[in-house]
Amino acid sequence: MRVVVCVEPWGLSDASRAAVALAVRVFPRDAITALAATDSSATAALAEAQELGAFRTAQVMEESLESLDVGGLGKTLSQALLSLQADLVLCGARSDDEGRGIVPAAIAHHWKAPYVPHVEELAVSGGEATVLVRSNGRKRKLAVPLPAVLTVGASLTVAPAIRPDAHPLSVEILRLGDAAQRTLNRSSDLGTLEKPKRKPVAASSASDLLRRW
Amino acid sequence: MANIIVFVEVRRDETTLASRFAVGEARRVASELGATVYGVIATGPASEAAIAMHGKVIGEAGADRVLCCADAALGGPLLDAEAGPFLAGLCERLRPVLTLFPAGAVGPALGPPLAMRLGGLFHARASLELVRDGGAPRLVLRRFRAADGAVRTLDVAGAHARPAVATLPAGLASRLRGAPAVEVEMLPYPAGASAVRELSSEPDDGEAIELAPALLAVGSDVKAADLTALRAAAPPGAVVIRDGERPPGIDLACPARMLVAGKAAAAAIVRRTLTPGTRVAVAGGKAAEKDLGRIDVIWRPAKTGLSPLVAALNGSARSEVAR
Repeated sequence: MRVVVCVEPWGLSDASRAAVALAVRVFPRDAITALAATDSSATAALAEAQELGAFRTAQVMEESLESLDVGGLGKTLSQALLSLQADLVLCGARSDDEGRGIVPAAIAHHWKAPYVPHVEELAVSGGEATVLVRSNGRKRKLAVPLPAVLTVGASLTVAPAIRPDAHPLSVEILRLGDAAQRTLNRSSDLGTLEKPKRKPVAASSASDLLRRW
Repeated sequence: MANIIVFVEVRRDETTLASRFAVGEARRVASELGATVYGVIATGPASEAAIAMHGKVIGEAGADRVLCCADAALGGPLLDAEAGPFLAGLCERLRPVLTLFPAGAVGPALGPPLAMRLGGLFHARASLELVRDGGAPRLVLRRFRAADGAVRTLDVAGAHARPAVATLPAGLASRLRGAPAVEVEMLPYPAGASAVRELSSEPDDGEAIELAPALLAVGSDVKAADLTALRAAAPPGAVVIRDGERPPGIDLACPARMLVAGKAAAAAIVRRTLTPGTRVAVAGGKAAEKDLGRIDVIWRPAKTGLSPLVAALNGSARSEVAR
């Protein structure tokens, strides 16, 4: 069983920490790899993932990643997953950067694997993951065939297993082919950036506050 | 003419309030843009009468046309494995410039995969705004960037725009914007079995927060008595969360209104539920305003604590807030 936790290269979000913690709770430590993709070093983020329990750390490092849109990033990560022979991918449900929560779906799309967000419990046996999710007004226990991409929300309370005895970090750099095919779409999909406009009104009383709310 | 699709979620044989709010939001902008609003229901097997009732409700909420796919495969979890191919096929047919999902688990489950299938853009926790700079109104999506609360703005249906997919907040009931749908067009479920199997299910204890139209975020400094009183006085549908709590459903919450009370700043996990369109009120000190992005109204309580707020909620304001 090979479990890959995809993490943000600039630093783990709360959701990614929860994803690593869930992996550590469910799988033997030597089954867990933390993976990041960026155009520069992700050492600090991967070191934190290792402290939280990841056994192995790997990174795709390509200049083109600086300008890839989310589809290109998903394709890059999915190719890295093939290289790592992953059976299961865990991701934080949303980053602490843009916070859209689309990268896991992009990975699943290109990896051609089921995508199940916000899992709260996880077990694996017989080529299936059993997960607990909330959907359509019910808590549902589902059997998901592997390989699959699962996400974990930041609020999932999983006791972190800090590993002070973790080995010194050694990041495996993955070299992927056909980079040119993953850099075709360089248009931004984020939109323009503005400072929020703050013009609050002062309420004269609690009743006034509620009236204007 | 541009098309806007709104996914309509059915729970316990009723369309959700969040779905009706999303249809109403689409109607609000579509009328000025000359766009057509399609309400799309994907649900488990349902009677003709139930589907007709959904059509009536969604039509009244503002949909020009109501489409429905009722199949056993859609009676369980709403995941991409179940509903994704159906939605992608529908989008191939209608070519929407914008597809909207209501607040709750359904948006994160279906929105990002649909955006990937369409080669489109995904904005989570978005608000719809019309921009008028002299010419015809333009539709933009706005959302907060999680890192710093800056506002991301995306033009929808521009000359080179890709199709957009967005999730909206859970709003309160709005006045009727349309007429009951004369006809609900039934759509077939695409062939092919889902790879995901449901093993068991039980009622979701996080549903109230997941679909809450209003959150009252209370600092850890608020006294237990005030907290109890606030919980008792909270308007129907509103949920009170104390700093440090991580109740089930909070990751999925996206309220249309947020009230922050106390001296401490609201926790990041609560702040990140906001959209730029969320009405934000603060009843507290300067610290309570921290990182909220945009605040609409502030009240500084005196040393009497939050009892005036509780009294106001209990009093005449209560009916107005619940409206």
